[in-house]
Amino acid sequence: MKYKTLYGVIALSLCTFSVSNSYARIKLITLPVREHVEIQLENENTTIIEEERIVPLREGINNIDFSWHNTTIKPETIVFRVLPDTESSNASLKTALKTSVLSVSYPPNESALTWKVSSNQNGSAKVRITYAIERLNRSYHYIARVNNDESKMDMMQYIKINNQSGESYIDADMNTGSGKNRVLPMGINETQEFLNQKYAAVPIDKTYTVNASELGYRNRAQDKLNVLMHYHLHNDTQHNLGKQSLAPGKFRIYQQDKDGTSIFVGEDWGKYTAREDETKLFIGQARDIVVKRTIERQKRQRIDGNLYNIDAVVKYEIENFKDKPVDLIIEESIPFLRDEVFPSRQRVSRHRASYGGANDSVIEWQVGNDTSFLGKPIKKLTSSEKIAYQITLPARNSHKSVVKLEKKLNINFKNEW
Amino acid sequence: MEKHLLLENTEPGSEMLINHSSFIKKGLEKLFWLLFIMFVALTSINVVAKNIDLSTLPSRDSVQLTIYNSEDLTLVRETRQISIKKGQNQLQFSWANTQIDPTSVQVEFLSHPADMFLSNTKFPHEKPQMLYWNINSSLEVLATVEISYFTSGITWQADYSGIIDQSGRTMAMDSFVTVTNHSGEDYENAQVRLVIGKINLVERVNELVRQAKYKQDQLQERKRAARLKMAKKMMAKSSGRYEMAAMPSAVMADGFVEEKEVAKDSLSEYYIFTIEGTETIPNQWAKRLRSSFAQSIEIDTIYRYRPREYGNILARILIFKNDRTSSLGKAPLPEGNIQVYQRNQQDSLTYIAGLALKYTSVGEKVELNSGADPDIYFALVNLKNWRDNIWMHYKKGDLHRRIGDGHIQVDHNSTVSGWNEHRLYTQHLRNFTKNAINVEIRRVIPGDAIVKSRLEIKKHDFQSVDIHTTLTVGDKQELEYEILTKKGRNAKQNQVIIERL
Repeated sequence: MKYKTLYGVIALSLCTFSVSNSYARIKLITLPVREHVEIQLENENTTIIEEERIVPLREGINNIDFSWHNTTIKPETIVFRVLPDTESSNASLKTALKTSVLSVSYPPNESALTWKVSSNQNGSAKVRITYAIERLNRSYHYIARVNNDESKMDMMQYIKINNQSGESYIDADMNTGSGKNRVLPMGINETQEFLNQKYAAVPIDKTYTVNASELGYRNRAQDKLNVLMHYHLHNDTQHNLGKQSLAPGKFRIYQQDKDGTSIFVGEDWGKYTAREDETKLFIGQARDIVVKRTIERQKRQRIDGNLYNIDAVVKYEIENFKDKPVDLIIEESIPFLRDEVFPSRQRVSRHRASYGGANDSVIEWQVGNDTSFLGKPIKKLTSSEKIAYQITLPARNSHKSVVKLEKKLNINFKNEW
Repeated sequence: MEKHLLLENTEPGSEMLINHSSFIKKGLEKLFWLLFIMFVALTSINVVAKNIDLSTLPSRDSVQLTIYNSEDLTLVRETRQISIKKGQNQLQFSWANTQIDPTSVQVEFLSHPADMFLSNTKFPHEKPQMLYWNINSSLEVLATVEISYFTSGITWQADYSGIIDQSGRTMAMDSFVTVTNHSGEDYENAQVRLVIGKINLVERVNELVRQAKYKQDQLQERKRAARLKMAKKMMAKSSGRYEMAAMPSAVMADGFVEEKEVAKDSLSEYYIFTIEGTETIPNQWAKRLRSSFAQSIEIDTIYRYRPREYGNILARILIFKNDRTSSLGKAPLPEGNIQVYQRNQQDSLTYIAGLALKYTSVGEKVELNSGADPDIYFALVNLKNWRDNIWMHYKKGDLHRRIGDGHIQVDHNSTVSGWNEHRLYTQHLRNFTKNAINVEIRRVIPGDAIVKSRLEIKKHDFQSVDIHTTLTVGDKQELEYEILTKKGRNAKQNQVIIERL
C-alpha cells in the first residue's frame, strides 16, 4: 500500500472522529449589505449598534443567519425588528409584505444565530438589528482657552472613539446624545476623534484655595499651607452652559499671552458634572500667595466628669505677593480641627461605644465670637463637616510691600467626651 | 439523528500489499497500522453508542418534553409501536452517552393495557446504561408503548426585550423562551412543555447520571484494554471502513406561516407553557421562541433613594403590573433578564439597561431599576449636628443627673451616660426631565429616633421612613428634615416616631 493511502486513511479516521463531535451545516447564504449603521454612544456604559439591511424574502419560511465570530457583540442584547413595509422598498408588490419571526436557533460552539422568518410573498424586507457591543469605547476630552484676565473660557469637547470590537463599520452614523450626529468610517482597531460640542465665552471663576486637611501643607515646619489655583465651571444657563450634563474627561487649558501665542497653563480631570452642578479644575499651585495656619488657642472647659466644651481659634496669616487682588477661599475641616484640639477623643470613643454604639462622626460645633472673617460662610461649601470663607486679598502696593492679613476662625466644640 | 461507526474485518484476499524487499518500510507501515487501529479502538467507544434506542424498534412515533426551569430536569415521554407476540417478549432499552436518570425509566402499554403486563425489568451488570423488559402478552399484536424517563441537560430560560416609547409612558415587551439541549440526544419533532414553579427533588438527576456513568467508565476501561489487545493481534491483516449518516436538511414550508402560539395553563402550584405544534432541538443547540407580546404596557416611573437596595443613587424605577390593563396578565412572568431600550427621535433605540426580572405572578407589580438619571440633580447634605439632654452618671451613689437641671456637682469621675443627637439634613433635587417626576426617599434610622419636618413623612416600618414629593418640569426643591436619635441611657425603644412641624 502506498504511503499516501495510509496517510489518507489516518486523516479520514481523524475526520470521522471530529465530525461526530460537531455539526456540518451546508448553507447557501445571501449576504444583504448594511444600508445604514448607527453607533449609539448615548448610554455612558454601553455602546449600541443599530444596523439596517434589506433582506430578500421568499414566500414561506426563510432562514436568516447572523454570525459574529471574533467580535464582541453581547448576544443577549440582539433585537431583530422588521420595519413596516414601505412602497419604495417593494414597489412591484400588490399587497403589503407581511412577515413574522417564528423562532431563533443557536447552533453549538458558534457565535451565530438563525432567525426563522415567515413571509406571505416574495419581496424585500427592511430589517433593523440592534445589539450592544463591547470594546467600542468612547472617551471625552476638552481643549479650553481662557482669556487674558481669566474670566472667560472657550471650551471644545472632543470625543475619541476606539474600535477594538473586531468589526468595522463603514460610514457609521455616530450618535453621541449631545452635539450633531456625524458620519464616519470606523475600521477595526481604528480610533476616530471629532469635535462634538463647542462652548464659547463661558464665564469662569478663578479662585485660590487652602484646606489643611484636604490640600495639605507646603511647608509643615513653617505652617505654610498649599495654595491651589482652580477654575470653577458652573454647568448652568447663567454661565452659558446647563443644557446637558458634562461628560467626565481631561481638560487641557491654554491661555493667550500678550504676543498672541497660546501657552499651556495646566490640565486636570473634569468630573461628570450634572446640570446645576459645578466642577473645579485644579490648574496649578500658587507660590505668590502665602498662607500660614496655626492654632492660636485651644481651651477646654469641663462641664462635668468627662464632658467638655472646647474653644479653638485658628489663625491665618495671609500675604499676597501678586500685583493684583485675588480671591482666596479658606476651608476648614471640622473633624480635622477637632482631632487637633481634642486628641484624647480616641481614648474616650471606646468608652462612648459602650453606651449604645455612639456615632463618632457627629460633632456639635458653632462659630465663636472671636471669628474675624466678615460676612457669612460660603453656603455651597459649608456643611456639618466643613466651613469655608472667601476673602479678597489686596494687591501689593506700588512700593512692592505686602500687607499681611490676619484672620481668625473661632470654633466652639460642644459636649465632647 | 443516529450515528454508527462499524468496524469490520476486510474480505479474504484483500490483504495488504507489503513490499518485502524493504524491511524498514514494512516496519513503518506496521507502526502506522498499529497507531491507526489503536486510535480507532480508543476513540470508537465514545462514538459508537451516542443514542437512545430500543433494539427492536428504530424510531419514535412521538415525543414530548416537559422541561422544568427550577431544576435541571426534563420529563421525556415517547411513544413507539412494537410487535408483540403471545407469551414472553424481551425488549432492550439503552441510553448510552445521554443524561437519563436510570431510576426513572418506565414503560406503559397504551394500546392494550389489559392484554399485556411487565413481568420484570433486568439491569445487566456489564451494561450499566441498558435495561431489559420482560413482557407477558396474551395477544399477538402491534402495540403502542409509552416510555418515559427523566433526563438532565435540557433547560429553558425566559428573557424579555422591552422598548419604551419616546414619552416614557408605555413599553412594548416581547417575552421569549429559550430551550437549550445538552442532553446528548437529538429530539426531533418534539412537543415542548415548559414548567414554571419550584419542585422538590430528593436527588438531582445529573447526580444519578454521574453514578451510572462511573460504572460505565469502569466497564469501558476494561473494554479498552481488551480492544487494545485485539488490535495488536489484528495488526498484520486488518484495515478500517467507516460509515456516517448526514444530518437531514431542513424542509421549507410554502405560504405564510403564523408565529406559534404558546399556550399558558396552570396545574397545582405550577404554570405550564405549551409550545404549539412540535419543535426539533438537536443536541447542543438552543432555540428561542416568542412566548408573548404586549404592545403597550403602561409604566409608572418613580425615582427612589434607598441606599440599602439601590446603592447611593437616586434610582429610576420602572413599574408595571402583570395584569390585563397592561396587556399582560394571562400568565406569570418567569424569572429572566430583560433588555430595556427607549425609542428616540430618529426611531432608533437607545439602550437603557439590562436588568433581572424576578418571577411575577398575575396581578403582581414588576419593578425594574434602570439606574441613575443624568437629568435629575440629587444631593444629600448634612447641614448641622448638635446634642442635648445629656445625662451624667455619678459613681458615688450610682446617680444619673441631667446637665442643665441645676443639680450639677462637678465630679471628675462622672461619665456621660445618655444624650440626644440631632442631625439636620437637606435633600437637593432638581428635575431637568421633560416630565413631572415622583420622588421617594427612604431613610433607615436605627435606634430610638424622632424625625421632625414640615414635609409629609410616612412610616415604612419601625425603623424607616418614606418622604414623598413631586417635582414639576424644571422644579427645584430642598427637602429639610431633622433626625433626633436618643443615645446611651436615653434610648428606651428601638423605633422611629414622626413629628410634623
